[in-house]
Amino acid sequence: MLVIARHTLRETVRKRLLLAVVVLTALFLLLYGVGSELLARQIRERMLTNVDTALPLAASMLTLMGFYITSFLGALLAIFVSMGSVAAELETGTILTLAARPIRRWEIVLGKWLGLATLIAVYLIVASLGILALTRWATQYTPPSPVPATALLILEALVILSLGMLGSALFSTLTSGAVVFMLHATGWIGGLVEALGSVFDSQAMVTAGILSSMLVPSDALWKGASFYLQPVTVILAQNASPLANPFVSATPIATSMLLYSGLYLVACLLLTVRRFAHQDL
Amino acid sequence: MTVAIETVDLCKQYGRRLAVDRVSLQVESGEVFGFLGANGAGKTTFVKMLLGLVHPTSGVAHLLGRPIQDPRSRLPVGYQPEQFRLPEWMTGTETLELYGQLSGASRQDLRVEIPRALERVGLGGRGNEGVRAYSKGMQQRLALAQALIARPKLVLLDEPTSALDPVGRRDIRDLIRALRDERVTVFLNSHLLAEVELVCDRVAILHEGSVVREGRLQDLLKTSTQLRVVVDAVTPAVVEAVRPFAHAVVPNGRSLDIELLSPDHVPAVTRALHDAGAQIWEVRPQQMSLEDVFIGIVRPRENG
Repeated sequence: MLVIARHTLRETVRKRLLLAVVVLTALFLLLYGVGSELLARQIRERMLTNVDTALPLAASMLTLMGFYITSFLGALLAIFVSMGSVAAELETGTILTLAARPIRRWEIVLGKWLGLATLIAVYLIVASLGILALTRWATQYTPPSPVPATALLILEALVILSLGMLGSALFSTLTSGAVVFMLHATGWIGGLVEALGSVFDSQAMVTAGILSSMLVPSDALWKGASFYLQPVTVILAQNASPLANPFVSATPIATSMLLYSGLYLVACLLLTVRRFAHQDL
Repeated sequence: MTVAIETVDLCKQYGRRLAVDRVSLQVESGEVFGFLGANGAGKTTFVKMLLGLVHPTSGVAHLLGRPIQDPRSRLPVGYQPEQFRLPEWMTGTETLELYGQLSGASRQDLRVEIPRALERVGLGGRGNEGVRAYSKGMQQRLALAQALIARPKLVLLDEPTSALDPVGRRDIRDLIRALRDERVTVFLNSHLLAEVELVCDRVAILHEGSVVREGRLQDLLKTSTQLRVVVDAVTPAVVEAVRPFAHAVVPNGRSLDIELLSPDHVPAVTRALHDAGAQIWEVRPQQMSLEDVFIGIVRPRENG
């Protein structure tokens, strides 16, 4: 299993997928850093009186945006590395020499998952550290609890990864990528609908949102992460205001949602193993 | 002597089509076994079932004494698939490293085995090149090397020479003979009859999913029914005397080409010729090639 994990990791590195992601992320971080610095400079120059309160507030918004994009990139990475994980091996026939070895099918699936999960976790940790470092450099601000936030981002990406592998075991590479991307988007829009529903006091919208979170819990996990990135003052302000920001959450993630996401991930993997184990290659 | 491959009534059904129909085979350790059949006869499906790649609909199979459902049955087994696609982003050496490790070989062993395997398939010194840059023939050689990397006791080769030129084909034949000398069992899937004829000890012929003939290669080739007889003069009486034993009699100068009903009829035919007054100069069973045997078996079934 570890041999497969290592092989999978090496594949993503060798196929230049990782290189492309690293370059693009570096570009994003560069823009983020420059943007933070420019914003900080603006605030320092223009607001002579309230700099001490205005700068952390602006910086917290900026960090939130940065992590929001990181969460999106993490999900995207998870979709791209998972969509071919099973399907492409079947399509090219490389699975034959692999599966004819003295290993069980589940070892192939879990080995691949382990390799890709490592890649995604390392990626998200590095990207998060990048954002934190740049924010600190430009504005001397650090969000309250970045560690649980990053952990939730990783969980979100791993949920997508597992869903993606299931898709890849069921469909062709391209179909799998499209299906999982759309499911992810559904979860995301569902999260917005739910937030707006609570603003407008619409039970139907809230129910639709919750259902979509059940379908793909990625947005719920992002909202959970966002809670840890906002200073107490912002959270209090949000809770007091009737017009909450639909992209973030002012409450911590429910334990039941966390549990559901974990089960969701495991269920996806089990279904992938089940499907792959019964497949004629 | 242990049994390398044993199947009992192995079946695979795809929808309503029986791809493999109750195949029962025994391949002894150390022999080179040829599995013949036209394209689509079910050869590849059969081999894939042995390797756990395709799940049998019914029946039982063992590799070297272990049931095929047990992954350890594949521990001493090498396999070269017909579609020999290997990951293109790796080098030859890395490919062998990966598959060797998956087959349970240690790193130390592989340090010795990889150059040896590359050498054996004629890729010596090319291990550090990317598979992407390999020609089709080289990729097929590498696919063979990965089958041999963990020093298997049983090697299953599915059309191993499809991408090779004549020189490459001879190399593979020599390699198969070398494997036999090392007491490695070789199961060779092929529709290239000449190739099988040159290296196999025993063969089975698969037709539309079932084994229609199985046996030692010499025995199959001996069951020749073609006879050429040379007599002093071919008269109508001589031709008539032979007819009861033959599908067809073709006079040709002083000789008669006879297609016998059974190879056992040779003594009866000579007696009948003698009784009809013919002086017999020569009686010669025609040596059949495996191709003749194969066509003789498969063609009537297609027409019928």
